[in-house]
Amino acid sequence: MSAPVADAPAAEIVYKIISSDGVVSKMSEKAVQQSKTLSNLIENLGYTIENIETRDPIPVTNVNGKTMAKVAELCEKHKADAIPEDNMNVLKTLTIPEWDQKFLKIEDEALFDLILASNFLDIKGLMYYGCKTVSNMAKGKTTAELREIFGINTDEQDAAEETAQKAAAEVA
Amino acid sequence: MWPRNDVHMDDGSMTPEDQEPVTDNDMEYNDNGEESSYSNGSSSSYNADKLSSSRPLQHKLDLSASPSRNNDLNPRVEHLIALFKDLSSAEQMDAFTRLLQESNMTNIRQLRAIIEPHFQRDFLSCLPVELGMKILHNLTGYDLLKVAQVSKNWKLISEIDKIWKSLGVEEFKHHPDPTDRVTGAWQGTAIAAGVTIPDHIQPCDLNVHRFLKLQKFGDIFERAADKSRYLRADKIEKNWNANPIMGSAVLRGHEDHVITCMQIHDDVLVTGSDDNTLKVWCIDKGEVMYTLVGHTGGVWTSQISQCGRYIVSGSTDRTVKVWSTVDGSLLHTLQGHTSTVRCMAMAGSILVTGSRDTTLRVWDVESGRHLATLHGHHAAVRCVQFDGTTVVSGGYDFTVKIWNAHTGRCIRTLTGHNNRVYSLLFESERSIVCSGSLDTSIRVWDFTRPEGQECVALLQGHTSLTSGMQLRGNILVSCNADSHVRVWDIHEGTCVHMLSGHRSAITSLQWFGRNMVATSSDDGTVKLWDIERGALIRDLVTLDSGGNGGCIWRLCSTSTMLACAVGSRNNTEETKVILLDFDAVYP
Repeated sequence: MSAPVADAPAAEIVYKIISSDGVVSKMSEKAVQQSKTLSNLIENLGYTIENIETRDPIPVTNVNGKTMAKVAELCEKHKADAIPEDNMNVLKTLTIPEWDQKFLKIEDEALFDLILASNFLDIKGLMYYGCKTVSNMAKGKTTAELREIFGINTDEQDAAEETAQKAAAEVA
Repeated sequence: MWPRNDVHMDDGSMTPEDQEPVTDNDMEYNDNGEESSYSNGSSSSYNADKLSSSRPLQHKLDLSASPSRNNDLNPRVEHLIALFKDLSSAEQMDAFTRLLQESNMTNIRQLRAIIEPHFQRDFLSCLPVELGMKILHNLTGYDLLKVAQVSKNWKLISEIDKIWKSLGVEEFKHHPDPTDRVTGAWQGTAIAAGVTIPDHIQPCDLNVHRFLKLQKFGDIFERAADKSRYLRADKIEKNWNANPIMGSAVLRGHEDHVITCMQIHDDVLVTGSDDNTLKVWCIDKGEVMYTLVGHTGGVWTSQISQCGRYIVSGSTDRTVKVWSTVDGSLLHTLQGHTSTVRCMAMAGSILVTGSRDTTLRVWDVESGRHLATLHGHHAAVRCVQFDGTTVVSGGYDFTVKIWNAHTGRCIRTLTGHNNRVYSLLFESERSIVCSGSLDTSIRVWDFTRPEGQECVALLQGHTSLTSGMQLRGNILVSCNADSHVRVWDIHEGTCVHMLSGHRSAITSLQWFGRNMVATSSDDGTVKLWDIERGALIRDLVTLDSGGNGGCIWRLCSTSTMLACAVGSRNNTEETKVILLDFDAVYP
């Protein structure tokens, strides 16, 4: 009776990850396996169950704390899932689960950061869901609607702004 | 307590925005090998950073851009801004809230226009190209065309070949190469006394069109190759649906006789006639290549082999003849039938022929050998289908029979029709047979079901014999001597659409594209229908003599061309083939 109780906590490794802005996030061992980059980092830097408590958090300098917290949340949610196949055809048939749809209903800025993080950390599931979410924003829209949704000027507007800036610079 | 919170929030709100995007973008773009992409991305990335940066930075930029504006600065506004910068984040928020309450709607609307871009991201311009490709990978061709018009960056990324190559629907890749169709019979048009082609291009415009058509630029594309194919396919579909018809031709032959059968294989058109001959035409050159002479009776059925090397014909002289498409020579005469050869079907080089003598015979057209005779029908065999192993035949004895072509054994006899069976469809993969009969009904059979239970649907509504059918998935289109086209769901056994417009028997039907069906009729017209909406798209050909004997006996098409056999039973209309061109070049 006491043996299983004693073993259970010991078997669960929780990694501390320090982000570019110094914020520390936690991820379980299974969640970390969703990220190939993190898995390799842990292996290469020699983090083990024996020394995890005494060492500094794992450094991830390309992702900020806010984004890393969301990454950790998604990886914990999917820690038991198989990693999707690295294949473009996966994207065509992919359906975003309901939990993830809600999870990704965030501002463009945050979604952008998440997609970049999924690329750097090599988290296939998050990458596919993120890219598919942006696709769905663009599907079936007219050109004018696309500009409005993504906040893009027409080339004429950009050219006009450039001209105005040059004129202003000349005045200066 | 309060001062410590202030400091913390300031740090939290400033640091990530200032540092993280630039760093990430630099890292990601450095990974790409594409310089142009890097510079474009970098530029847009800077713009995005500007949008997301805090107000003081914007203010600073404005000042450096035009320091001369200092003279125009309102000292009261400057004072207010200086005070605002001294406030804590929470105090700034409080000030914002109260300022909004003091603002009129015009200013608030302007504020919205200023604020909204801060919440938006130009994903495609800012993300690495391989991620942008993943985003575009999910879009349809139509969506990609819209994406290309949004901005320069979006156009560049949407032109990547791999994205277009991976489009799900592949129909647009299957069109044959563009054709000229300006020589031979195409030099004239089919517009003549007695023939009306609504929507045909005017002669002067046609000459310009033909001139431009010959100014080709080879196969070099300035865009993704598959995008060119997609755009061409879209243009071809519009040519069928709405655009003026940009070319037509008349092939004259079989004078004063009936064209009984017509087939197309690639650029070869074969017409058979009761003048005992077949003619082999080159469609794109608009000329006849060979006249196949040898039958001593009218030709009633013909086929072109899948490989395109053989033409096979059946005749009232009881023989089957095998001809070469290479030089029009007669290769074999297959004897054995004791009455008119009425129908045939081919798979590979194996041919099955059905006859008024009540039998079917199986032949190898390469060697000319007779392989088997199928006995069992009690009256003329009127229609036959063959998949290489299984033969399906329908006859004037009201039955449909399933045979094993190798053993010659009748596997199954499907009974239920009350009159002659005139048309058949066989879909081997699903063991589905559709039969149309003079009893006015169409029956759908699954011959893998227990004997006596094979009929899975009885489609009723037509009032005469069904002359042609085509099946895709669960949708069956039928044309009938009652002048109507019907669209059925064979799974539900229901009629989805009835298409009215023809004034007498429909003679032929052809389904192409996603939802376009062309029909020819005894009333002297060819009509194009949308079977998804259940509506007429337009008339393609109209004979003035329609209603007075002029009729269109047969219709067939490729994806870019339509051929219809025209004539009459009382000499009111000259026998000929009218060709219409719906092709387009690569943009």
